[in-house]
Amino acid sequence: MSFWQRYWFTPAPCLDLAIVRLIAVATQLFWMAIFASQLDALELRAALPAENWSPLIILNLLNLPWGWGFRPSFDTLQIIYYVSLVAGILALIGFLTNAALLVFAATCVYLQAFIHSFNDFHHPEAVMMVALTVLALSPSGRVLSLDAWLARRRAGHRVNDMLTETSEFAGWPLKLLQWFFVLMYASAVWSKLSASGLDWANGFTLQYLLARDGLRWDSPFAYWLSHHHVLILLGQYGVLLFQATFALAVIFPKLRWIYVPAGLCLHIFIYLTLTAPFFQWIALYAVFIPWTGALKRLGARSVQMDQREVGVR
Amino acid sequence: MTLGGETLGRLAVSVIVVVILAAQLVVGFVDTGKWGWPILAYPMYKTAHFEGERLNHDFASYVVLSDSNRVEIKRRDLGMDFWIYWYNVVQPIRHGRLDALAGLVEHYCQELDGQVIRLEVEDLGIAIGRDGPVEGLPRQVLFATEVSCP
Repeated sequence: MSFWQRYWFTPAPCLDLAIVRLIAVATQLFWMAIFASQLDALELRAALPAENWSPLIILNLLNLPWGWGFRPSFDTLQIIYYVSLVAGILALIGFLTNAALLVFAATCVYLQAFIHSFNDFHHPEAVMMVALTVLALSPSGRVLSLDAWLARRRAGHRVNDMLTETSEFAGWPLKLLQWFFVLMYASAVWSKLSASGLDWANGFTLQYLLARDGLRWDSPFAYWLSHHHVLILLGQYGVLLFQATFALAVIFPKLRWIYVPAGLCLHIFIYLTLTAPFFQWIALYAVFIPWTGALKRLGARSVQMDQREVGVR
Repeated sequence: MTLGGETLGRLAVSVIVVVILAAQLVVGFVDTGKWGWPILAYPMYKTAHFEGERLNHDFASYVVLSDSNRVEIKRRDLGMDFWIYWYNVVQPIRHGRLDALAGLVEHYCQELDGQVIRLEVEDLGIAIGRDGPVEGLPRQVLFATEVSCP
């Protein structure tokens, strides 16, 4: 039990959590308003016939007051969409941070669940929904927020050292999301090996996917790459190794120097070739970066450089 | 927060951590499809592919008439993007899900004077080879389902 307490509730820097809040909310706003044009996606689906309507359980639960299977109109969805945008902006600037994040998380879940309720279904958004929810339940607005600035003003404090502010509730959301990544990758590698065994890494699998998606989404790079069997064969073994051993990046933080860049490269490669936009995963890799420690080190280095310059003069 | 409040907070957080990670652990290894969203399995790209396998990058779907003539179902005419078309036209034809195809069948029955007897999905005649895609192969009918006009 003491290990559990120590692992999840050791005071951790609030700045790490706040930076993840900024990155997560900004990414989700970008996704909704720009990249995925969510309003267009909602309108397209709202116009589909009843036989295509297949609501997710979570949407049915959220709609329970209106009855199981209730299908909202586009007008209702539009209102929820704009409420979500406003809540997202408030969460980004950190005004009424927890309440804003809670509304943002709930409306994002609602809208995305609606989009996935027409048999058309994708994977990148799910982890962001979990991330926004846990951030809403944490002190993610303790620093880098309007709330923090107002609180300091009320208390008559002018300066607040963001780098030293800690909370015993600031570590768990990041650790939870780190383990969530481990489980997502474990699921991915398990799915491949249980469905196909080591045949999955035969080179042709990824050649096929690159050629297929290169043609489907008009990606000349993917199509070109589908002609290079040996290179792709090695890449497939690399993917299996990365996904199967990702837990090491959580257990041994030093290994993040390898796993984080490798994971970022993997997801950027997947986007450039297979056109699968896992931006949420890329953004949420922020949970693996010790922002406060890095900033402290940068600060110390710049002080040393200043001192050296003074010494030279 | 009082000491009691902090303890309660830790307890609540512990429950949230255990529920989320346990749910993801179970669902991740026992794929329940989309129903548990946002807790999911991640089986993307799980299927192995082999040399000579046909690419399914896109499909041509047809309405087959009683005189054996075929009329192409154009995705653009249906106002569907690729994935909506895949899940709501191609997959129902593949699995013979007539309920999901009812609107489509009714539309073509009206347009084609009630002669519709079957829906078919064809590939576009490209396969994967060691040196890349091999194009220009004869097209194959992948899926078909018998239908009748209401």
